[in-house]
Amino acid sequence: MSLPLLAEASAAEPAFQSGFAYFRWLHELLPAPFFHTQAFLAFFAIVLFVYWSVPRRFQMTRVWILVIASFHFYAAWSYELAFLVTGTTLADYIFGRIMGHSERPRFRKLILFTSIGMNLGILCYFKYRGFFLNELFDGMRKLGMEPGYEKMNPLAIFIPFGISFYTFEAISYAVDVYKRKIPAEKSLPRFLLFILFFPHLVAGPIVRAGDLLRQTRRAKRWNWLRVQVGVQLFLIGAFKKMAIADRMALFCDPVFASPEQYNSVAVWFAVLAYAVRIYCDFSGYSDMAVGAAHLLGYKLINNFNMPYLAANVSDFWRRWHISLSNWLRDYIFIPLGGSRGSRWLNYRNLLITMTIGGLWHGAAWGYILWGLAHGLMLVAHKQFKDYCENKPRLTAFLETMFGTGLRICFTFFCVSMCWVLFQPELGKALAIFEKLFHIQRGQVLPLNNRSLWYTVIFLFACQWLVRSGAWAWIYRRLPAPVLGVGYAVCLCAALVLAPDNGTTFIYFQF
Amino acid sequence: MTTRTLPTRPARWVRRLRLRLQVVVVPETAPTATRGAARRAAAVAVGSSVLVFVAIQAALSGTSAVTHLVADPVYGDKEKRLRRLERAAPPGTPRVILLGTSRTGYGFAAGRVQTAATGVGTPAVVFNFGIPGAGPITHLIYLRRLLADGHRPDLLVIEVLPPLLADLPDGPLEARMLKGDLLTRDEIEMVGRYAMPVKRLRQQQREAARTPVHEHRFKLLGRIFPSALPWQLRYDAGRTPDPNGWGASDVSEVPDDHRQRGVAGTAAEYRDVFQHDLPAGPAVAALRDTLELCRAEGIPVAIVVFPEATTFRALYPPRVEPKLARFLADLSTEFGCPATDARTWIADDLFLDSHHLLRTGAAAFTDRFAGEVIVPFLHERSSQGAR
Repeated sequence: MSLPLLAEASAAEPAFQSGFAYFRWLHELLPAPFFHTQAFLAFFAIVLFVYWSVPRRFQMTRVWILVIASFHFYAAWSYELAFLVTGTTLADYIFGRIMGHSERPRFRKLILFTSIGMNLGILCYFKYRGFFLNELFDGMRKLGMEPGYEKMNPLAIFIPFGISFYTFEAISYAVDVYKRKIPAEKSLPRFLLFILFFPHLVAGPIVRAGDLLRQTRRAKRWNWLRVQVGVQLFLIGAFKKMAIADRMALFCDPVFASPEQYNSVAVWFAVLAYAVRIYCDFSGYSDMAVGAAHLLGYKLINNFNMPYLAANVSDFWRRWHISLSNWLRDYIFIPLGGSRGSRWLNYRNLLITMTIGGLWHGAAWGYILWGLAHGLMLVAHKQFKDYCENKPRLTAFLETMFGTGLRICFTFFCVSMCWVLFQPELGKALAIFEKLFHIQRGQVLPLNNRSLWYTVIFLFACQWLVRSGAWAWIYRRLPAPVLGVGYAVCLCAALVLAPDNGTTFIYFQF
Repeated sequence: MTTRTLPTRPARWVRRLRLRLQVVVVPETAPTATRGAARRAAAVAVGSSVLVFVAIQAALSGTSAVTHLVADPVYGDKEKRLRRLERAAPPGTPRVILLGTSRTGYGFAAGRVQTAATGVGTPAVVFNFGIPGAGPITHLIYLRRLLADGHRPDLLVIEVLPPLLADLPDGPLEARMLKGDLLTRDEIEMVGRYAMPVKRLRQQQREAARTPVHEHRFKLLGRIFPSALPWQLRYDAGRTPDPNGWGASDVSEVPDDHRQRGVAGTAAEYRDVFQHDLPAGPAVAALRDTLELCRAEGIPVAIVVFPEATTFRALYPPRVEPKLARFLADLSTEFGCPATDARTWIADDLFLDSHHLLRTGAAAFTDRFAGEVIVPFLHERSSQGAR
């Protein structure tokens, strides 16, 4: 049986897959942690069957089943890292219990910093070590000093998948327990499930302890409505990933890999395709994760809400990667002072928060600049908003349908431009900008761009249908068998439109 | 005893979810009975989706077992064209079929020969069955299929592409191009005799039978929405040629830089292949088996090596040339079929790259080959018939 339907199993291959025969066997069965593979579907079907076969009164057994399944899901890819994540989760659990029991503020603070330090330390070791050492290397060379070590290849540095996501989850738990927003979790399996729950382990959504731990205590009951929602979300996610994101990769990947070879028109098309791709790739993954969780009786936060229909950058960040935006707001922006204080203090907080958000995505200048650019756009938006307060006619115009359309287009343009920076190699991003704004000759796109336009139109038409409420109206009136046919057609369309170059999820590397 | 009134609103999570998804799962004021109905409807929707999906897969799998148009559309489309041509011709019209690679596909204007043959009083159906990537093993498969489909040629011209006869360590060169989803189970067992990677082919064939929507996606999409695919993945080599199967090149002239790129690409593709022993190995066995089959069926055969530009001929190591000539002569003697080595027939500027002919090159080659092999055969056959 061919395990991957599309995804390149080697794309996420750890460099040190060896050791116990059991884990090697597991790796052969589930070579890549991608939801849109036959292997994952087989794994998920087994988990579903075992999970729902356990009677409802054995709730803790069900929790253990999910913990074991989640551990195996990660261990199939790299058992060393599965043990590492489980170990740090155990440590976080103990830290939480100690904080929960202690009444001494300084001791609690010490435990909090220990927990945060441990999590950030591991994150930095895997994700930022190469970046900082390379920057240090370059800096020392510029100063005429000999660094005494070899420069690392940034693309060859191995990063455990999902590390940024579960690090943030663990930190939020520690902070919430420290602030006594939530009690320290007493049940180890429930806490393990909060961090390791496989639908959100790899690329979020970043769940909050208060939300998921509460759900682990509820007895789950098979509910066809929930199953339908889960199936629907999973299928929509699979369609977005396979039929749209991977298809858009055909347009943008060759251009982003060597922008100097292509003409300016091709580069503009590639930037548009990349904007569509990154949205469908990540939101597709999130939809599949939320859908899979629903099938197990859990509800994860909805991570996207039609972000490309946002009318301004602030609105965009309320719709894009919502779980991360909320996290950054609650654990960085507000502790820094938030919107309180002077205007400049507020701007400073925004820029710091967004730059950290950029750095969270990847250890490269491109990501940092991407975060900074979004911070600057948020500042500019606030300035513009203040400016508009005294201009009622301008405000009224911007509120009209035409004005709103204009704002949506402008926001989409700005966000798309920022996506150019969203890559590990800054040099390539600069080459793309040069091609965009300085008309140059070169190769045309390798594929007829008709399918690019059809995809863009289809995507925006779907979002408009949902936003206008027309979809809700239609959906309510559709007979169940017709919906069933729709789901089957959606899956078939995803399978037919999937290109040959099935790729990993972009956000897995974060 | 009083009856307890159950809440009429849907569960909180349903309402929240509905808001999130902006879809209405249950009407706002749904009574309990309606909630039960909604659950039943949800079960029906999920159940029917599974049924419909399985039905679509089964239907496609069944269809691909009945017709080649789904699993091997290049063959299926060409066969359809050949059938159409045969139907249009008067009964008893002799059939000349050329089995070959992309060289044949580009390089033989079958319609031109058909017209010429009719003009000289020996009408015939002449069809170009050149298919990219097809070598001796694929030719054997296609010949068996053609015979099974009722297309019995009166003259079968088989193209020999020398690099495809190389004895490579990992099996015939064709093994790198042939995919299991194009073949039937019996055909896979048959090609196993020629050192083809049967395990891989079987696996591909099983996958195609299990999830045909996915495994045949390029074939389906190439038919419905070809511009969504790069040309290499469209499987349209059987649809784009003319009614006689000739897929002439779109351009009449090639700029020098394009030709240089083509030459370089071809050289990169074949240079290593020429380092191995040829003609030898399982591909030669397949060619012999094809000729044996023709002998057993009483089908006259002609063998041809298509024209090659100087740059392509330069790739042949010196030891190969005499061996190839001897091989063709031996085949000709053993099977009583004329063997034509047309490698030097056409000037270099009439090639697209270094071995695919341009329109003008194809016309020149076709005229000469028809004059030397096909028309004399048709004349002889016609005079035998008259006697």
